[in-house]
Amino acid sequence: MISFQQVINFREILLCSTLSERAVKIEFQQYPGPHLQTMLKLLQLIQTGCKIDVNTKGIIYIPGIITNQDGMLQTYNCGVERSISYYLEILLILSLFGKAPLNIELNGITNDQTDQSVDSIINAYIPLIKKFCPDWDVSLKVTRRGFLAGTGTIILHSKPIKQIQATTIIERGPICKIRGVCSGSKVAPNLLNRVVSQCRNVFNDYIPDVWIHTDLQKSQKGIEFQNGYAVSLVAESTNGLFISCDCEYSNDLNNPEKVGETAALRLLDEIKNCGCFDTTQQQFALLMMAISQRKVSQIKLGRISTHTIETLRIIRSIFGVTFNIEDSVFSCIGCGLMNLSRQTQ
Amino acid sequence: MSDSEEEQVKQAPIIKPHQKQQKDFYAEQLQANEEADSQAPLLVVVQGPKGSGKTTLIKSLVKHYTGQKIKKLVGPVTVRSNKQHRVTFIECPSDINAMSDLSKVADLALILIDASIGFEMETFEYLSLLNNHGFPNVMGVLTHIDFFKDNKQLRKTRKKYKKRFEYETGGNYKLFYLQALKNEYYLKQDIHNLARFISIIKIAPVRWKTEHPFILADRYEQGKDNTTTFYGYVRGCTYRLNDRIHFVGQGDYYIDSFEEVLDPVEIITTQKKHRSLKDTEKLVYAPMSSVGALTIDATAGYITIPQPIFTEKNKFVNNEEQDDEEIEEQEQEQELPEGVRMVRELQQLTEGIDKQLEEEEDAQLLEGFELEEDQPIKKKNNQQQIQQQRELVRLKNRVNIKIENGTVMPISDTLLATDLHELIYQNKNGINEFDSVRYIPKVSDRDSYKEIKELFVTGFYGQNDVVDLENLEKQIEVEEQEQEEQEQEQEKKDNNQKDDSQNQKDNQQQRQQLVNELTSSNLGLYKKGTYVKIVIKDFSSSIKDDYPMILARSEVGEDNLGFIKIRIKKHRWHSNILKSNDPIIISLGWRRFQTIPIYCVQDPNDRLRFIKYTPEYEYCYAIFYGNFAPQGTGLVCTQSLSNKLSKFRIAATGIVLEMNHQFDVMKKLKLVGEPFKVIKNTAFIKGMFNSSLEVAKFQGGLIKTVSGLRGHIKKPSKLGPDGSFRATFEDKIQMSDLVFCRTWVRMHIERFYRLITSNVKLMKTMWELRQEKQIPLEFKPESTYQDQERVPVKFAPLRIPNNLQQNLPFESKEKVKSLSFRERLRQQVEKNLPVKSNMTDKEKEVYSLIQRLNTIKNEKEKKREQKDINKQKIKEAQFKGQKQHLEEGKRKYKQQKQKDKFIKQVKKQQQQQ
Repeated sequence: MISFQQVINFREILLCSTLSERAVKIEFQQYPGPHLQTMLKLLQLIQTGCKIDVNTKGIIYIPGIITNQDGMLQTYNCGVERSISYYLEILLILSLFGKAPLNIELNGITNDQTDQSVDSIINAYIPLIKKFCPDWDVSLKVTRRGFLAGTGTIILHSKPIKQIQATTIIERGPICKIRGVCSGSKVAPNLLNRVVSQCRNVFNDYIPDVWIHTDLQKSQKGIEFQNGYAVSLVAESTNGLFISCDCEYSNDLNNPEKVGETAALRLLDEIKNCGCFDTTQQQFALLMMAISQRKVSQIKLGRISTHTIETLRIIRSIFGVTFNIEDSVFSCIGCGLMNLSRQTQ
Repeated sequence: MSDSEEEQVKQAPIIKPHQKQQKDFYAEQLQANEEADSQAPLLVVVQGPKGSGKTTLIKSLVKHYTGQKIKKLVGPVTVRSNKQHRVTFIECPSDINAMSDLSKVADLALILIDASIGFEMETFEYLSLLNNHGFPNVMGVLTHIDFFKDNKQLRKTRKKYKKRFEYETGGNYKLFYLQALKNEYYLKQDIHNLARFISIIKIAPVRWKTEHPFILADRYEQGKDNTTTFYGYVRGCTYRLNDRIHFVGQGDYYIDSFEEVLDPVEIITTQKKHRSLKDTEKLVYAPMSSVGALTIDATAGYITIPQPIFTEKNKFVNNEEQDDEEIEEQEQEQELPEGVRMVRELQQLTEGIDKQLEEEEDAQLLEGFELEEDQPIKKKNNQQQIQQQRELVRLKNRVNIKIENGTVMPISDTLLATDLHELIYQNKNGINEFDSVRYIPKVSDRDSYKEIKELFVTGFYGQNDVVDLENLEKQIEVEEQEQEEQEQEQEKKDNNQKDDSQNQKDNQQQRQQLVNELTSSNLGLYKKGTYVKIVIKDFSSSIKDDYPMILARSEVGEDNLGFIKIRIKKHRWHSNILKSNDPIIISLGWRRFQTIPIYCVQDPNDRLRFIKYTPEYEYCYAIFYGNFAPQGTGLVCTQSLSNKLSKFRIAATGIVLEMNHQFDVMKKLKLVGEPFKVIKNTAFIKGMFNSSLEVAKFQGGLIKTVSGLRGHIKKPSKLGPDGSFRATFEDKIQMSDLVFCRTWVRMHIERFYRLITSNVKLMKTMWELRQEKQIPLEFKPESTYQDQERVPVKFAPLRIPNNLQQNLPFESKEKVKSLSFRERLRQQVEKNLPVKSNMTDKEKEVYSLIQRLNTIKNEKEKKREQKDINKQKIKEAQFKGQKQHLEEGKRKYKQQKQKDKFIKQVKKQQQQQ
């Protein structure tokens, strides 16, 4: 059993532990919040033989095998503490190592200020994982938008794979496209167009190929939507790499022009400072490298977030993979993790 | 060999699924062999039955390679076969554990066959072990050929063995022939040929090995406080340092230290003109066995001095002349060459070298020979240097990293590796301030991003707003030139496809360089072929010297325990079938363990159905509790570890399919009940359940009578005994009917797992227990077949009511009307009544007249017939009489004639007289 002390960010530990099937003991600095329960219940839902012991100071987590309930469609409520993508980020990686395909309907928040939006997951995060496993069969659909009140719904289908391939991604290439989704609910349709036009206004100096969809949630009977709007932008490079960023309506950003401009500038900042993957998602790229087959993987990163540093330490203590860093190129030999729960005939 | 056997041999061997996998994998490996230049010594396992000449073969090969003689062979022997190539030989004992361990690690298996005996059990066992643990290269060696004096017979047997060997190994594998021994070694020419084949062999990569690094320990040292040190080459693939290690056949241990040490048989990298090895470069490294006069033990080294076969001059001389001789001796000793004197001194020693060494300081045995072997070479110095450098760099570039807003930002373009590496891996406190949130970039002015225009596709054109025409023309020219160049290059490429392969080679080299960099940059990676030293604390179990010591890395996820589903087949040469819930020893992955499997088959609806025994010639599934191993890994089952060769020891072979923490294996269960009350379609049934609670659990369940009437369980009833219930059927059932409820019970799979170590106590099989305790097999008389007395049942005749009869279609209607009882009675009575005539008197007269006339006629005919018969009789009698008479006449005539003849003869005789 590997023990971690003074933990705040437990999610990556649980993810690595489940992937490696090694038991962990986590001692919290302070109780993280109700989303811990939500996360543990979700992990229990997709596994068999998983044992969890929770008390006020910490948890003991003994992972089982990811069966995904034999491919049956599950419904899970993610609550309103964290958005759906907080759970999706690890669920997508775990579904690669399942026995059966994962079919799940998640209810909760689709866009909020602390996590990535679901659109960024679809447009940037899934292509990131696909870089490491090209034959991955996945579909993720947003059926309903939800702001803060947690009325959103997404449906995920994901098939397991055998092993993750070692990949070398060093050159990003020039940015050739900018795409995005501007979504909102309970607001005037005109508002979204204003956001889009402001975004375009900024990008016009850089690139003509900009296309931002608008997605306004229609009112449905029996559901009370919270009002809000958000924009998720994705820049695609010629080498097929995606860089995403999000911006939402908030007290500071209280008019559409401000939201649009901030979103566009944030994307420009990411393009300027991040390497091949955006700052939020870089830790998962590094994790994919660590669990890939026993060959050399390399990626180039720009600025490194503190979460990435934390994740790198977790990777080392659980998988024993240490990265070599030279000129912000991270290289390692993967630990050759196999999908042990896969079914063969 | 008969024709049928020959046919068998000709048949192409069946490719098993895991072999196919292996084949695909082989192709894959050949395409990208990343670690081509770092090679561990080729591991050659020499296997054969007792007395087949394994030791002699290794000795001969070592003598061939190095010219050195091995006296006592223990453990692996590494020799340098040429500058780039090293070979390790290891002898395989006939113990089943050692055989299975060595079949997992072998690069090449030399299988010795004693020609005077033929193929023995061990050979077949080892071949099937190899087959299931991934087939490495195999070479057969036929020894004891001198047993055959007759040349023709020799040729015949050779051919026979060759065919059989090819059949067993699936073809394409060589069978070597070793002629007679000469001075306890095989003939030089034979060994030369064999060595040549070993050196040019292309190693077939075995999947298991390329994913699982291991160390075959050359030697070990047992120090104080239970620390044990092992030395050996890293084999298989790159070793990633881990806190634990699995000692095959002993268990898991925590590593105390793991470091690279001086390679005893280094690859010679300096390129010189000479291809062949110099005599000084010919090396043999066999620390556990005795090479020449030197033996290195676990604790000390010994020099063996053979029994003196020479005598010192003048030793046996008369005592009288002693005084003179002493003087002479002294003189002679001074004259003796230095070497001889030293040896003589050694012979006359009273205390050991070690004691002498204690007294002296800085003693050296020979110059250039260092006693300490575990020096972590160069690396330490390198590490120190690197650290020093790092510190320097850090001091210089302290400003190079800025921590701000949850990110580490490089200020200059090149982020210093050392700093970041240290920040991540050496700073233990960590920057752990937030739960994971998305990174929100801090945005500055809109104008401050103007500089990143060049990061966009369109940015290149927007660099200069005003373009001079001249510049444009120049640009166009340059572009055209570039285009031409590109076209030329393409043409070249088309012409020479070799360029592609060159590129591939370059790529491979690059990758290779990367691997080298990573392994040398102290990330806990050890390339295969590095010689390492491993220290293990609290190593309690004893080590056998002749037993292979394999230290394997425990892989992520593979040291977990859980249920494993495998496809298994009883080995066709194993004498008995295997029983569910009977303990069995499984060799899977690195580990060998005893476990309790249950066997099952898969029904068409994917249900796993329990079976009591394995089928005889068929695959089935088995589920057991054990160590996880990747899907497709082969495994071998044995029933005991005894070395008795009374029967084929390999019980079954299989392949891993699936792992899970629970499996639903179902067993069929038929509950039987009988009705005690039947009202129309409802019946009350007893005897199926024991309580109403049980009934409640089965409410709504389907039930069936023997005749096939279906029904449902409704509710527990208060009538009858406890556990009886009300049920409805599709029709009224009989009181004599039996009612079945077909159900499935989940089987319990035992969580029993015991790693096989040197001193393990195994669980006994049922058979062994019965043998030991003298318990006979359970006999249930009611389970045997018994004769059944069946009373023939008389059924009442079928009667169809009239109403129904009328409504039937014509086809089904009775064509001949069947009579009722009354009608039939009447008919009978009528039959017996006198028949009333309705003839007139005249008709009666006529009738009587005709009757009478007929009577007369009949009478007459009768008389006539009688007459005829009489006549016939008379005639026959006459004929008979005539015949008799005639024959009598004839006889008489003959007699007369004979008489006459006799008389004539008599008369003639009389006349003559």
